[in-house]
Amino acid sequence: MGKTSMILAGSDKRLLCSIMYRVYALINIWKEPIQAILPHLKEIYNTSLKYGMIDYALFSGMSFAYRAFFTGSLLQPLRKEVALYMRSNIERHKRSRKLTHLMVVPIFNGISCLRGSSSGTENAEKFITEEHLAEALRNKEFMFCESMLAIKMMCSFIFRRLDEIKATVRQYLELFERQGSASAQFINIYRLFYGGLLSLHFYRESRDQFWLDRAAHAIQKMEVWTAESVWNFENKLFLLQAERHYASGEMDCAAEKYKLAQESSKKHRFVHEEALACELAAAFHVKAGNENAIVVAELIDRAVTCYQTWGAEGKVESLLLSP
Amino acid sequence: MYSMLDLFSIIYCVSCFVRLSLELFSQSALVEWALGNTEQMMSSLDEVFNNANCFEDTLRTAHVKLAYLRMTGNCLAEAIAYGFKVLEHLGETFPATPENGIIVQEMLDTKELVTGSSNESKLRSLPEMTDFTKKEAMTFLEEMLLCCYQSQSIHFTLIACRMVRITLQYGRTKTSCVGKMFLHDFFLHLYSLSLRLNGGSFCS
Repeated sequence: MGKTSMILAGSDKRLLCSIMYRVYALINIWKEPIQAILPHLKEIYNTSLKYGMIDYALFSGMSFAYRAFFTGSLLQPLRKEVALYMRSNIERHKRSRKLTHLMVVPIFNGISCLRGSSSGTENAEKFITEEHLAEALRNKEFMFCESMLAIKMMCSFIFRRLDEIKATVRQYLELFERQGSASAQFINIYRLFYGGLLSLHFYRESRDQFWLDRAAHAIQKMEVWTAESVWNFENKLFLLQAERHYASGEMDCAAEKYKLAQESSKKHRFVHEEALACELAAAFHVKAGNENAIVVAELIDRAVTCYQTWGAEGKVESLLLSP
Repeated sequence: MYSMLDLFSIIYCVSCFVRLSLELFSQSALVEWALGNTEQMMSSLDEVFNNANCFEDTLRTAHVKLAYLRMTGNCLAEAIAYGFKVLEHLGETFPATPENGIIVQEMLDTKELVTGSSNESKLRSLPEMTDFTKKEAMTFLEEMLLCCYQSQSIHFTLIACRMVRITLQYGRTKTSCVGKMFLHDFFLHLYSLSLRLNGGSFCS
């Protein structure tokens, strides 16, 4: 469909930019390996700038930043790219096109947070506050609000600052579950993924049915999406399933799913999610008490290596300092 | 003494000058927006709104205002309300709170119109749109589609379907070229719908 549209656009570069943006940023993410989309978004950004299509340039740059961040692009070069994008474009259009500026700042802070204290903000609670989320919601900027929520949940989950975010997650997950049923947007994937992981953690702690319902919804969505693209969604589904089995006390099934999540993340080149799968598997084995210390140490080592590869030095530090 | 012909010529010239100055204010608003001078931009927009002779004179300016409101980050609700108001003037109305059943039916009907090999070849050979009002409506519908995407509004689907139908009936435009509008945004939502149906979270 997208290809047909591009043919129809013919040699009109301006039209082609807008079509390509929609095809690569909004549609192909559900079907094709998401990492393969990133170079196209860069190309659209450059072409849009060349032909004076400021809005498409800003949106394709912003979409690139979001997709690259959530899909595990190496953080160090990504931070530079986002900083350059902000300097060269966002500053110039900050007043007239404030939305793109507002949307890119949390991504930049998220990268800084994961990179570690020397790079900037340490805690997602500080750069995405309750007030930020509430204001976006008041302004009906649901996509923006959901984007901030996903970044906040991702950073908090990775740094295991779970209690700090519990009230926010409780407040917003159900809301977006209802709201999100009207859309198929990239950010839905990561709101559901991290929201699901957080819900299962809270369910294990409290046995509150509310959390199990949220997790069940996330798993159900991920199953549907995995049927469309194994590459993009399978590892996330396995990890959610592993955590659900763990929460239900089905330890053998959980162990198997953790293993599958690690393998799938590695196979499909989601280095950050491979790290997460290893870390959660290690925590599971420690709690379950059914594995020897060597296996746990190996998992932690692998998690550290993956986080290092990703460039999340802040997380590596906190992982090495944790008991 | 002026003859009647002279009088008509004068009226015609004044009318041309008014249109030209409105167009210049409109272009000036665009330039100020690009430069980030939002106050000057609003002032140019106001000049057009205050001096326009008819609704049609304000359409270009209204589009700039809508795009600006959408991009500010805190006026999306205002943008959506404004956009729907303009669309209503252009003869395109939408229900305030569309029901799921209506949306599903609309999508299925529209799908019928665009799928299949005969329909696809028909799409490729659509004539250029000539109807002024519909062309303007398509421009606003495109902008509203983006507003609805940002606000995750269920109107997105209805707008996409409307664009398909207008295109099929009146021909294609540059802003809503066959591919751009319905083959992408429409099918994105068709895909979304199928996900929701498959996911079981959508009741029609």
